[in-house]
Amino acid sequence: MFSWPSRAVQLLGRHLVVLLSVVVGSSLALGALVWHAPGSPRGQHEGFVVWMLAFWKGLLSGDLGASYRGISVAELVFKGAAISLPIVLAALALSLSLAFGFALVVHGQSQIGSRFGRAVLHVTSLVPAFLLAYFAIIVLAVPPDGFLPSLFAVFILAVADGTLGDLSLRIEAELSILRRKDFVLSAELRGLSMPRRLARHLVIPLAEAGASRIGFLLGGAVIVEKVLGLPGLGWIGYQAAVEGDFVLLLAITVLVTALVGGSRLLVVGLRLVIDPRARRMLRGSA
Amino acid sequence: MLATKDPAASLEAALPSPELRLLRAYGLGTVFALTVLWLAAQFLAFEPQLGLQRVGAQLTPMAGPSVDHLLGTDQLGRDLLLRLVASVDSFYLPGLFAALVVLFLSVPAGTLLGYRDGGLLALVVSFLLTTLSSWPRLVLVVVGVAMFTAMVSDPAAWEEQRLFMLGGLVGLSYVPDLARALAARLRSLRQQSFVEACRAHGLSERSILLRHMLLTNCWRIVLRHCCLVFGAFLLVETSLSYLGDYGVPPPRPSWGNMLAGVKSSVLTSRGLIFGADSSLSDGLFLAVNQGGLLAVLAPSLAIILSIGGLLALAEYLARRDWR
Amino acid sequence: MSDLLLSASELTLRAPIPASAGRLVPLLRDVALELKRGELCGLLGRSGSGKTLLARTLLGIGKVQGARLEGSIHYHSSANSAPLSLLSAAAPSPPAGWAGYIFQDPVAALDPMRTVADQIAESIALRSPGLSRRELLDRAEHWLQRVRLADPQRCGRLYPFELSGGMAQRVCAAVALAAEPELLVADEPTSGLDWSLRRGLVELLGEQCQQLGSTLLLISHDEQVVEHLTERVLTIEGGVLVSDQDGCLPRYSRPLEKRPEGDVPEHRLRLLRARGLRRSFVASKVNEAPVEAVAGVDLDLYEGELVGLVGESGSGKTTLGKVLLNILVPDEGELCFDGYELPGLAELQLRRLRGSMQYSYQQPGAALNPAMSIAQHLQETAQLHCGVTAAEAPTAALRALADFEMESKGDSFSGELSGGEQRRASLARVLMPQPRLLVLDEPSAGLDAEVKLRLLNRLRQGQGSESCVVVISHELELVSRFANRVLVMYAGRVVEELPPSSLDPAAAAGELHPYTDQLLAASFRSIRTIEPERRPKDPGGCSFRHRCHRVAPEVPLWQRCTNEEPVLVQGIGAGHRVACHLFENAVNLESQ
Repeated sequence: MFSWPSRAVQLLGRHLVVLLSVVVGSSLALGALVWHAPGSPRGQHEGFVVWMLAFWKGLLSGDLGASYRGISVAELVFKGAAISLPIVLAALALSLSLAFGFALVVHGQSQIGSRFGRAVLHVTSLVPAFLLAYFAIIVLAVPPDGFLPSLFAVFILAVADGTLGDLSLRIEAELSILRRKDFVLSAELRGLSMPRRLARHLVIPLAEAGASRIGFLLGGAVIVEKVLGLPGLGWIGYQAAVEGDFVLLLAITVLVTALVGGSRLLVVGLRLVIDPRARRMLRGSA
Repeated sequence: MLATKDPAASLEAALPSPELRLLRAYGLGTVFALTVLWLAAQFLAFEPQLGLQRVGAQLTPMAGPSVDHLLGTDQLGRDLLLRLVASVDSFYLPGLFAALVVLFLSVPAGTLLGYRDGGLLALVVSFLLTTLSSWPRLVLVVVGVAMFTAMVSDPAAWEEQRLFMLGGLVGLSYVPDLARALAARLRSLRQQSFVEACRAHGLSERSILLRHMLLTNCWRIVLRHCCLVFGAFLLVETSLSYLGDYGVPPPRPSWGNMLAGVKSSVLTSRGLIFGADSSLSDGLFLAVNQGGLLAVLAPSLAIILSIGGLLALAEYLARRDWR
Repeated sequence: MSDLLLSASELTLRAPIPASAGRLVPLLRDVALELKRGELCGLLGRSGSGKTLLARTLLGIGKVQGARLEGSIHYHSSANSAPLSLLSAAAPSPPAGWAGYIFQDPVAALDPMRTVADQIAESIALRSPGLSRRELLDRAEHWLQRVRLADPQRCGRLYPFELSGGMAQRVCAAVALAAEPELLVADEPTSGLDWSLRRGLVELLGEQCQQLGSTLLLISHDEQVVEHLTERVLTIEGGVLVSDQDGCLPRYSRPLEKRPEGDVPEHRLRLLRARGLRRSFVASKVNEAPVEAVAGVDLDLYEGELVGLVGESGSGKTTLGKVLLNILVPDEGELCFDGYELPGLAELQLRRLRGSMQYSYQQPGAALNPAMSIAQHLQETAQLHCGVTAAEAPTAALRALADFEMESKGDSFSGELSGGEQRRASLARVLMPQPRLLVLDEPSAGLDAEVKLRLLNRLRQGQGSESCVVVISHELELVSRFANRVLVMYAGRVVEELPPSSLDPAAAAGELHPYTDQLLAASFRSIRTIEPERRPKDPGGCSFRHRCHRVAPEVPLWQRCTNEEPVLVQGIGAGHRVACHLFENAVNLESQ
C-alpha cells in the first residue's frame, strides 16, 4: 500500500522518465548528425558513444566542453539564457494576462466588444514576429543597445505569431465550457458571486495553454533576437548554426527541449496541487 | 404513403452566417490568388534577368509608382510588382511539399494511435511524437537546415533542395499536432454507433476505416492542418530569407529578402537626414515620407494577407467540422 | 401577496441544432403555463420532448447559442410585490436566489474542487449573511441530516466525485434547498437510482419544499415518479405542452390491420439456433460486479416467423438482439445461423454472411454516417451485398429510396433529415440486401402513431416466407398485433414464450408469468415504463421474486423461488412456455 504523496512522486517520476528519454533521444539524434558533419568532435573522442556519454556527464556537471572558438560552451549558454529566459518568461506572463483580458472581453455580454475583441485577436494572430521586429527597427528606430530591444522583444513575442490569439481563444473556449457546466449554472441561479469560483477552475487550463506556447516563444526568440540584435540563446544558437559550431548548437537544442518538457512536467505537478480529482485518482488507483 | 409531419422536418430557412462565408471567401481567394501568381511567376521566369530588372528600362532606385513600375522600384531600381509576383515561386512548391509531408506521416501515425489500442509500435510512435513536439518549430528547422548545409559539399548548388528541405522540416514539426488530432477523432468515432452498425452491416474494417472514418469524417482536420502547415512554411521561409543565411538567396526574390534589402537603404537615408541618433518620432516621420514606403509595405502586406488567408481557411474548416 | 409564482405565455424558442446546419428549429412552441406558490407540480415527457429545455428557459439558464426566444415570462417574487416582467427580446432570468435547480447529473452539478459542506455553507450564507464559518458548517451538517444522509460529518468533508449517485442527489438537494428558493426545479432527480431510493428521494423533496413553502417542479419521464408525488401533471411532447392535469399521452388512433392467421408454415426451416447465450458488460463504477445483460438464453428462430421480443428497458432485449447476430460476441453459448457457427467464424466469411442477417438500430439515425449522404450509404450496400457494379449502384440506390418514398432525399445527410426520414433511410439500407434474419430494435421509436402503423404494415408485406423478423419493443400492444410469437425478457432471461393472442389484459390472473402480468397492466393502462431494477448478479433463485406480486416471503413457495432458478417449461395452452415455479406447480397439479 502506498499513501498518496508517494503515488504523486511515482506519477511525477513517470513523467520525469519520459522527459529524460526525450532529452536523451534528442541529443542522440542530433549528436549522430553532428558526429558525421564536418568539424565533428571525432578527433577528440574514441567513438560516438564515448563522446555522447561524456556529453551527458558534462550536462550533469555543468561542463559542456569548448565551442568552435574555444570558449566554454556552458559559459556561452549561461550568458544567452540570462538574456533569453527572462524575455521568454516575461512574454509568456504578458501574453497570458493580455489573453485573459481579451478572453473576458470576447466572452462578455457586449456584442460589439466581443466582435471587436475577436477581430483584434484574428488580426494579431496574422502578424509574424519577425515583421513586428522589423518595423520596430525601421519605423520606430529602436536603438540597438539599452533596455529597449529587450522590452520590444517581450512585447513582440507576447503578441505575434498567433501566441496572443491562440491563448485568448483557448481561455475563452475554456471559460464558455465552464459557464455551461451544471455546477456553475446552479451557483449563478442561487446568486453566488462567480469570479473567484471560476478563477480556481481556470488556473490549470491557463497553465496548460502557457506550457504549450513555451516552445513557440523559444523558437520565436531565435528570429526576434536576431532581428533586434539581442545576444540571447536564440541569437547564439542561430550564429552557431551558421558558423557550423555544432557542439554549441547541440547544447542549446538539448537545453531548449528540456525546457519545453520541463514546463509540461510543471503543469502535471500543478494539477496535483490544485485539483482534488487528480489527487483522488492517485489514491484510488491502488 | 409514409410521409411524416415530424416537427424537426419543418426547418426554417437557412440562417445566413456572414462570418463563415467571409472566412471561406477570403481563404479560398487566397489559395486561388497564390496559385495564379505562381503560374504567372513561371511565365515571368522566361524573361531574361527577371526579378532583377526590366530590360531597357532605366534604373531608378526607390521610385514611386509610375506607368512603367506600377508599384515603383526597390533599392536597386528593380520593378517591385514583378519581384513580388516572382517571390511566390520560392515558397509555393516547397509549401505544398510541407503539406504532403505532414499528410503522409501523420495519417498513418494518427491511425496507428487512434484506431487500435496499445501495442509496442504505438508506444514507440507516441514517444517519437512526444520527442518531436519538444522541439520548437524554428529550432527544428534551423538545426535541420544547418546540418543539411553542413553535410552537402557545395551548398550553392543545393539551394532549391534546401527550400524543399525547409518544407520537409516544417511539415515534420506539424506531424505531432495532426497525428494527435486524428488519433483523438478516430477514438471518438470508434465510440459512435454508426461504426458498429457498419460492422453489423457487413463492411470490412478497411472500408470502415478508409471510407467511413478517414475520408468522410476526418478530411477537414487533415485539410485544416495542411493549410496551417502551408502558412507556417510561408512564415518560416520569409523569416529565414530575411535573416539571409538559409532562406531564398538574393538575387532570387522572396518577400523576406525584399524586406531585408530595403532595410539598409531606409536606415541609411534616415542616417543622412536625421543623423545617427534619431529618435523614435523621427523614424515614424521618415517612414511616412520616404519613397521606400511601398518597398516596405508591399512585401509586409503580402506576407500578412497570405498567412491570413490560409489561417482563415483553416478556421473555416475547423468551424464546419462536426464535434 | 398573490399566490401566483411564475407565468409564461406564448413561449416559443427557436435555435439552430447541430444537425440543422445553422437553421433555426422550433424547440418549444407556444408554451403557456402558470405555477402557483407552494404547489407540487410534475412535468412529464419522453426523452427529447423538450422538458429540460422548457425548465431551463423558464429560469434563463444554459442559453442555447444563437437561439431566439419569443413570448413572455413573469416572475413574482415575495420580496417585490410587483411582478418582474421580462419580455421576449432580452433573455429573461429570474432574480438571483429566487430559483434553485437540481440537475439530472448530480455529480456534475457540484463544484468538483470544493467539499460538500463548503458548497452547502455557501448557499446558507446567501440567506443568512454574517454567520461565522463555524456556524455555517454546523448548519451545513444540519442540512445533510435533513436530507437524511448517514454520517453527515464525514460526508461534509468529501469531494463531489467521491459520492455515490444517491448521496450526490441528496447533496444536490441540500445545496439547492439551503438557499431557500421560491421555486425548486428538480430535473430527473431519480435517474440512476433504484426504486426504493427513488421513492425516498422524491418524498424528501416534496416534504422539504412544503416545509419551506417553495414550489416544486418535478421533471421526469417516469409517470410513476411524478404521479406519486404531485397534484398536478403537465405533459410535454415535441416542445408543446399537450396536457395539464391529465398525464395521458395520445393513444393509437387506428388499429393495426388484422394479423393474417395461420401464415406460419407447418414444416419450417430453422434459421438460427442459440443455446446458453451469455453476455455481460463491465460495470461503469470500478468496484461493482459486471452486469449480466444476457444471462443464459436458449432460442430457435424459424423461417417465415415474426417474433416479438418484449420487456422493460434494461431487461437485455437490445443486447440479446445484437448477440443473436454476433454483433456483440457472446461470452458463452452456441450460436448457429443457417448452418454456420457464428462466434468462431472467420472474419471474411462472417462479413459475407452479414448480408443475410441485418440489424436495425433503436435510434433512427444511429446507423448512418453523419458525413455521408443517404444515397452513398445505399450505393455502398448495393455494391457490397447485391452484386451491383459501381455504374449501376446509383440506380439501385434510387430504387431502394423510392420504395420508402425518399427519392428526393438521396443527397441529404442524416443530420438534415427528420427522425421519421432517418428511420426510413436506415430501414432502406438494412432491407436492401434482402436479409433472411432481420432484427428491428424499437422500429417505431420516435414515430407518431400513424407513421408507425404504416411502417409496420409495410414491413410485414415486404417480408417473404423465407425470412424471419424479430421486433424488439417495449410496446406490448404493438407487438401483440404484429408478431406470430412473443418472447418476454426479464433480467437477461427469456421468462415466457407465448402466442400473441394471450397478450390480453383481460386474461385471467395466473395464466401468465407474473412479470408479463405486470407489463400488461402497465402497458395497456398507459404508456408507462416500469422501474428497471439495479441488477447485481443474482447468486441464484428467481431474479423476479423481489418484485413478484404473487409470491411473498410468507408463502411457502418463497423458499423455492429463493433457492432455485426456474427454467422454461410448458405452460397453459399451445405455444406457451414459462419460467416460473408457480407454473411448475400448476402443471404438476393438473397432471395429478
